[in-house]
Amino acid sequence: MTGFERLLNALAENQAKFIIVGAYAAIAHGSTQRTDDLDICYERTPDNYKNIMKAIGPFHPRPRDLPGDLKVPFDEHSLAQGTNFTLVTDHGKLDLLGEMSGVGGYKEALVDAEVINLGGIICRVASLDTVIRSKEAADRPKDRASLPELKALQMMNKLKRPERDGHDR
Amino acid sequence: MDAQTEKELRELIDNPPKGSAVAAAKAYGVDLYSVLENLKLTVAERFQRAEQERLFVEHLRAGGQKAGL
Repeated sequence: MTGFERLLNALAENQAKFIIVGAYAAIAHGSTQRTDDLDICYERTPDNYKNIMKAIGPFHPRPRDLPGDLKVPFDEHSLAQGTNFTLVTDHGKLDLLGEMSGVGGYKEALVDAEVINLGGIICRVASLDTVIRSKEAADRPKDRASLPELKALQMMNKLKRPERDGHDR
Repeated sequence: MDAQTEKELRELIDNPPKGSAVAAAKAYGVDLYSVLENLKLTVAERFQRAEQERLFVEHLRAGGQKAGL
């Protein structure tokens, strides 16, 4: 199991309510873009903060990009006090997003999210439409650069037929 | 992906309708054949490939830092 799979597996096992968004959602839909962080959109409820921290706590999440050796603890109270967090864990960079530009929060992303099977890890991934909407709204150079491929993927995916097990191959 | 779908996708990539998203991506320089290869994989395989590449880049970065680059 890879690092990000460990994170996703822990989140799924602890019944955290989350959706894979951002570049890894694009990758799930067939994009060739690459990233070094995993973005997830999470439901902002106290129960979910607990489940998320039960899942990722053992992987020592801490805010990233802090100066020097500054150590800032990250726990369910931190989750309750903010919305979007850029973290680093023992298994890589993890961004927890309570809200996304152009989309909204977990509830909005859930509307057309798709269920995927990552080698036994069952989780949700944002639809390609949602990924495109969020990237158009974020409008950073890297988002703009990713859009031609994502829009082509939308068109290519329409040609694909339903697969035998409901998953892509 | 079945052979017929692949054939149709190759045709779309080779001869995209003018003004379409596929034509725009081609003009932008997107390697749509790599995208097509990705579409042949399962979602799990796509994740694993992306993860392997991420770890490789991290390994290179760490090597560069160790070497003082």
